[in-house]
Amino acid sequence: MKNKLLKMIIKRIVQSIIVVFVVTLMVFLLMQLVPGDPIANFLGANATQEQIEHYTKIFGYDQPVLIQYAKWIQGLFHGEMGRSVALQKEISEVIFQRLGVTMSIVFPAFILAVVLAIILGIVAALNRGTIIDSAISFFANIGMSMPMFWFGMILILTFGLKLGILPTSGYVAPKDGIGNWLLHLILPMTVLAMGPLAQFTRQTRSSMLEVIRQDYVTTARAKGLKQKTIIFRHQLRNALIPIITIMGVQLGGMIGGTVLVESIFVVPGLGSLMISSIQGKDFMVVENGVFIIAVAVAVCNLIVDILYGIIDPRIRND
Amino acid sequence: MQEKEKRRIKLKKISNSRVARVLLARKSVVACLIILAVMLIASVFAPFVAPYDPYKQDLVNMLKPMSFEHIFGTDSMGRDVLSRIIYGGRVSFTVGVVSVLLAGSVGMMLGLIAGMAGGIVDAVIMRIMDAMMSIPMIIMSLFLGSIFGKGLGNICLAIGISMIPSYARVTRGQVLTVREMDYVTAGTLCGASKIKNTISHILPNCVSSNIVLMTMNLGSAILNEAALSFLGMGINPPTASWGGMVNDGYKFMSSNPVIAIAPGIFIMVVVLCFNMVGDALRDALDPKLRGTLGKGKKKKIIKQAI
Amino acid sequence: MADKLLEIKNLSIEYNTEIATVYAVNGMNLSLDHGETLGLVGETGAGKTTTALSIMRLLPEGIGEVTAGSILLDGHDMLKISEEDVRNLRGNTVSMIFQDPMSSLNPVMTVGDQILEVLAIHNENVSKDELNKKVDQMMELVGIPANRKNEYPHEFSGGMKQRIIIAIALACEPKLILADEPTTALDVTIQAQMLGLINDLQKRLNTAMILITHDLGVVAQTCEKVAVMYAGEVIEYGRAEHIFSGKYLHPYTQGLFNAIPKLDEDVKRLETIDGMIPDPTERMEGCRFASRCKYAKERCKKAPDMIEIEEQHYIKCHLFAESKDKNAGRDEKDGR
Repeated sequence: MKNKLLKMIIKRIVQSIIVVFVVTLMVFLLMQLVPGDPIANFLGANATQEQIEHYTKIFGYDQPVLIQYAKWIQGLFHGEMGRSVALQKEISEVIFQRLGVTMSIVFPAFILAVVLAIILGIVAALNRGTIIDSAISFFANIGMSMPMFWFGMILILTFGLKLGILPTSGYVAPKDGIGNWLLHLILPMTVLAMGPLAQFTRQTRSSMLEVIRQDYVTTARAKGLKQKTIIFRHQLRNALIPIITIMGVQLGGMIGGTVLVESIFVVPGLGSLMISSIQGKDFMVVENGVFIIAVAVAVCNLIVDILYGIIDPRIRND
Repeated sequence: MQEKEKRRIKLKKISNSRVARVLLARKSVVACLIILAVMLIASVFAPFVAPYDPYKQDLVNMLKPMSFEHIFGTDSMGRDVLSRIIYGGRVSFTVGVVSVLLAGSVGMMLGLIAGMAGGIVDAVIMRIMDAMMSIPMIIMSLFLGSIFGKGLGNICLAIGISMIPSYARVTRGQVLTVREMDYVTAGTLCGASKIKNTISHILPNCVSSNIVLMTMNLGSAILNEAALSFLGMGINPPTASWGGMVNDGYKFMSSNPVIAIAPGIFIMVVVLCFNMVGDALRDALDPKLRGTLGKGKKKKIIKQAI
Repeated sequence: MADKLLEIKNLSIEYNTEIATVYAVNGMNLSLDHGETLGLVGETGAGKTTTALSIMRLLPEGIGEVTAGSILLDGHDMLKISEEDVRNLRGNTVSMIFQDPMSSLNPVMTVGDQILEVLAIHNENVSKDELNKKVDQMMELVGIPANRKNEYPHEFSGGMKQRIIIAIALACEPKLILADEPTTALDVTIQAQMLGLINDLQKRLNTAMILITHDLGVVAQTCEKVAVMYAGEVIEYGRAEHIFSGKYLHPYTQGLFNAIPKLDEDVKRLETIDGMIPDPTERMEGCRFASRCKYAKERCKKAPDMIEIEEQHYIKCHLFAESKDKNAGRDEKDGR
């Protein structure tokens, strides 16, 4: 039993490594499509020919494409991503620091979304057809359709500008005060959690309703179990399976969503780094950023898959 | 042969009308379709519908609040917000439709090739799809947008490409299931070539699930475009786009919030409508759910109980 | 009469939906002694499963509704007692074996836990160790090695799953088991095995059983009493030997017997009962079987009464009313 799970995990790890490798190849090839000379692009119109040549050499752009790619990959294995001229820092250092900030928003938001969604989904399913159900479904539909940046803006307007009870921008590291950190997290987290919350709620509701019709629930009732036991032990565990399958996609979406959230709430995370690098045409940061995001998504998917394997015993047999 | 052809057309009509019946039975779906139609018509005929020129600046009348003259007020350059919203619909609908069609057709083709060819071709295509999927859609379109550049066409391309993998996956999955079906084997036994089989049996089976996905993706494509434009990496100003308008209005939020809130509401309503229609379409087309819809649902429960 | 385990009187059940009302059970009467085995026979849609579900009060909520009658189980009025009391009876005094073993077990729980669960809920004062021992016992009893209790349902075959379900149903040694077509989903070879097992355990634990089936062969093998259901009511009830002797039979039961292929006769076509079961969404006057009955006459427009044709053999048909009436008349005279 344990062995099967382990085998599955190893298989998934190998798959993720392949995926990440393909990502590097894809990103690198796409970067070759960027019109014009990357160095000239970066240095701007005022750069002299000498400067361009100087930097081209430093960054190795004079070498063949394949060598450039090999060098990049080789660097990645050593945790080196090169140096950003614009930031005047090692790229890896910046990216990992920013990644930490981003994840400190993504994970709490994810957990918030999942927990709240399961509660709302169960409540909606148990009150099917009533006004409670309609209200929850309505809000879930709205939550799925709202533009994230717009929702963030409205929150800033109400809680920040009108009520003045929550900070509307900036980020405080946890070491500078947990309370302050949390306070700054509330709004970004809410915005980031909204879409997944809506998705998970809908999924929980529909799969709870699906499970209620299953024979094993009748078996459970025929055993004389309490309603609560039936809901949590029999229905929910089965209903969770389809929810877990969409968790991976939603987590990826949330990591992407930080691009918007961080730019609205001025959080110095990976998302805002991506935006500023794209705007500043600092493509080395962009390509490494995309790589790191792909790795983060792959890791999240891996965790979700393992969770899946733990909850659903059938999957371990594949 | 003609008889057969006629019967086939008739059957097709029945199945199509069944889907239409299921869709139209839901009042919310009818409402959504009407809203979408009104908005689409308004944006197509924007020059006749919009009360003002969306690009005409009027610095005397800038940042006006809501009034009868300017229902949603005027923006920082004195342009009528409602007119800009009507024109902005053109961008949203264009991006939605074009990028979804692009993603759908290319994705379906890749999925078909992967599923039919198998082996190394399948592996290569699907690994690339996996890789594309492991980059969140918004980052992918941002990244592609930064390579292609701004502008309507490039944005459609960027968003379209970032949505390809889901179509490829769905189609390939369908192909693999359908390929094992008895009627496809029967086709092969009758001497149909692989290509003929693909076109006459497998392709039609993949279409319905892709159409559902396309309807659902219309909303996310529009959201994505709005996000890119909001970040200043989508549609070039001064062209009106809903996301860009929210961004413009953002700076004046405390003094005149309606400039930013109004276009956001339009994004939400359009996306909501597309999502609702997509949901209903999925329920109507999904054979697994057939007979569990509305009235049929209870009938089935009763049958089980007796 | 007091020692009857189960007494169903004049039970009527409706399913209410937006489209129509389905009259699933119509004035059904049935009783059962302790330790007795009853075969409940009838075609699909006759209301067999509905009856069983109503005994456990498991009718689909908000749809299925008991409109008349009473169900007395071991002295409890099942339709009146509180939900908590019903829960205490379910699995403990009365339990059910379901039709489809493939879907009746929770796929994400080990089979051991699923047996343990029913024991734990009804034996709150017993220690966990003892309960676990009992689980092992039950598994061995149904013929599955106890060391497999940490496995999940998907690791078992259909027959094995049905054994687990039997173990769950018998774990608390109930007074009544409702077996709803326990063998239809299984291979023929396993069917006999399973029936043998159920019968054996039932005798050992002195449990009464209602075996729902449409297979008369199964009834002949296992049951002491037979009740034939048609369109929501019991139309014939009696000891198995009386029914299988074929001396007096309701025309419908006759039809059922004729539909069984016979080995010793060379038949080209199997006999069938013409027509369909009446539309359950319509309330009917008179004999429900009349439309398909070859003996149907004018009098069948009036509903027949249940007549005791021989000792403990009841038939609901006008055909037998005549002979019985004469007898009854004579009895009356003699009585005076």
